Amino acid sequence: MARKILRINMTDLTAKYEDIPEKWAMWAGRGLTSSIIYDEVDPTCHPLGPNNKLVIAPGWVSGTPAAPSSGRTSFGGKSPLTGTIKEANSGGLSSQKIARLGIAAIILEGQPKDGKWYYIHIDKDGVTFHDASDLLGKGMEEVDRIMWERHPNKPAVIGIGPVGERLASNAGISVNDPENNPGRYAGRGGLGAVMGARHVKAIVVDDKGGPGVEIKNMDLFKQGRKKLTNAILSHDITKKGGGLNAYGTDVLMNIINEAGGLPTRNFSSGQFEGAAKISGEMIAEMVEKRKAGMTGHACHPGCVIQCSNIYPGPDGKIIASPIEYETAFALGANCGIDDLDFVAKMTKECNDLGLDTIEMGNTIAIAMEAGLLEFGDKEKALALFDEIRNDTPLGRILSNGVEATAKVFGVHRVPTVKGQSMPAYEPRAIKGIGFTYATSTMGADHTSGYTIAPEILGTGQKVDPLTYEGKAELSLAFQATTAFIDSTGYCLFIAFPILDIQEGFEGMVETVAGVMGWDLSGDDVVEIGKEILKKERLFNEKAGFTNADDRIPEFMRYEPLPPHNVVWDVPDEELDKVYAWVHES
Amino acid sequence: MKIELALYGSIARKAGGRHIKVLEVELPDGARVRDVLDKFGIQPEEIGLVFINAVLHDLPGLHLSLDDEVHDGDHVGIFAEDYVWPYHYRGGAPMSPKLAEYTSTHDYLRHRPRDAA
Repeated sequence: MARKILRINMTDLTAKYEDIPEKWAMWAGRGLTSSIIYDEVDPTCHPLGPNNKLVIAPGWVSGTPAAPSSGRTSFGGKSPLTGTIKEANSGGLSSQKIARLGIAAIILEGQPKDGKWYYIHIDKDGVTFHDASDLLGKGMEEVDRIMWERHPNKPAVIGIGPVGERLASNAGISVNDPENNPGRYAGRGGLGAVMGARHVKAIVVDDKGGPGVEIKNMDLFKQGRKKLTNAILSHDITKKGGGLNAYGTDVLMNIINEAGGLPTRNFSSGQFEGAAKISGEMIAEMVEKRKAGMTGHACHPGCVIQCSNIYPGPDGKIIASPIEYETAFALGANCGIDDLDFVAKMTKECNDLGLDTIEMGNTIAIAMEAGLLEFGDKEKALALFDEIRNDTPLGRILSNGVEATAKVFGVHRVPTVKGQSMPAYEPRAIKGIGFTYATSTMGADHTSGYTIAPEILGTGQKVDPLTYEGKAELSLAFQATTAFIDSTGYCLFIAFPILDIQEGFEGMVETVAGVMGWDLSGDDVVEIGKEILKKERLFNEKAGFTNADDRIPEFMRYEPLPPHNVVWDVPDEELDKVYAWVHES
Repeated sequence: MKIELALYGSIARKAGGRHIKVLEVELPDGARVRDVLDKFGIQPEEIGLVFINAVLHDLPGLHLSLDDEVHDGDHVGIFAEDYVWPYHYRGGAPMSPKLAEYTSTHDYLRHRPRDAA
């Protein structure tokens, strides 16, 4: 059975299953969300107005039998935070269930004429609209629980917290995990507000009895699955007991701190004296000491990497899941906070209220720089979430992110690109990531630059670290590869084993080719990725973005960053090379 | 002379930690990274990333830092072999001259350089 597009129109409360048009037939995941947004959304529309859309798409291999670590769902729209096109993806239950219903993408459009709020239930029999007035104001923990009480078969719950209802620019979209907790977020870029602008509080997906995912070439798929699984399970980083499985993504905390690239106290230093206390190693120690919670937690069924964790408090009660590197950096180091329990408490608030943890932590750091509270004041930092929960004017400001807060409080040291604040790698100390932050179609984004074996990318083995030669080309290859992986449904972390293990890369390509019935080789990966990037870049150009938006913030160009005391000094012409190809030929 | 040493991951156990151990270490003048390892019975193949004063001196599988000298007051950070620092989060970070030279002529993108000994 061919995949369908499910178009849900909130203006007249209708749902239509449409045949997938030829122009979208090859796409899935990010490739599909960006194609649909490019084709159907006016780039000059207001992100919160009637003409923006939210597109939800599983990847090529999502929902297939036991493709390893393939539970990512892509969410796309025009971002209220950046004004650019946006794709944010999440783990959790939704990807596999949407795919198994035979749905290539859900397009959510329009706004209810009666101004009421709804939640939407999708199963094999179709779509039903439900009154959501009793869910309004509720956090995602309660919404997830209520949805499982009302609907059978442990469905996926895609939802927005109170900040999404308020159309705040830092509202993320939550997806429940196998234990029905929120914490899997399509966090970045305020897509929760795009969902809120359609007056949809939640989308519940039950795949029971669904047709499943058609696999055109099962032998090729199985062969690829075996190679990829072997690569993941044999690589030091992704194997059982390896770096990610043992310590989670927060395994990076001590490394980046040792390197002098950990953004600390609103990007004023590259080292934090309390880094070890908020690191993945410390999470593991706490789980052992408190005999509660866990490391090696799977965020979606079928994940073999299992890099998530469940963090316990001193009394053994669970505080939050997961504590990731980005979370610990933003709510910890960047706020001068070295207490994991408080990082966990703030993470819980973000997950429940519906906030992206990176943007929120960076926003608190701006408030600290503005003098609303001191760096390191964990009690007051935690109390800021009450302002958001109680919907005070200050809470409204904070839930609109770094740039809004900096503007209101007169802060000029603003670590953003295209309106989105930077993740946990200081571009002054680690210059390579700066190329990606500056030029990504998504604003400052750390997930835009994953890579695959250089000989496959055609960039050669040799990359001179001391010059800019070839760096723009390399950044493009990374961004294109990432756009491809973001379309597969696979977690980006498969990039580690497939980078190092040739068979793993072949396996990834073969699983995609097997599902789609394609003749696909490794050489196609970058080209397919570039097609996605081109649509995104052209959308942004039509929305008014130019090369002048592909820049690292001014203060990083004149303020030396300790301990290396370096500034951002990459010439603008080098950055402009990354997307120069878009208008060629 | 004294250095501050941080051991991360499985090698922390060799110095009495569980997952991290940070401690001051007395060493004779002229000591090298391999002397630091010897003091705790850590084998070179157990280590990966090595930092001295926030400068990267080694990558998993290379063992280029073993003869690098450490000096009084240095901070030395050593990670167990199975830590990842992907290239796209690493490219452009400060490196020792020896490592910079190596990576300018060899595969630098992989987690573990392919021709690493």
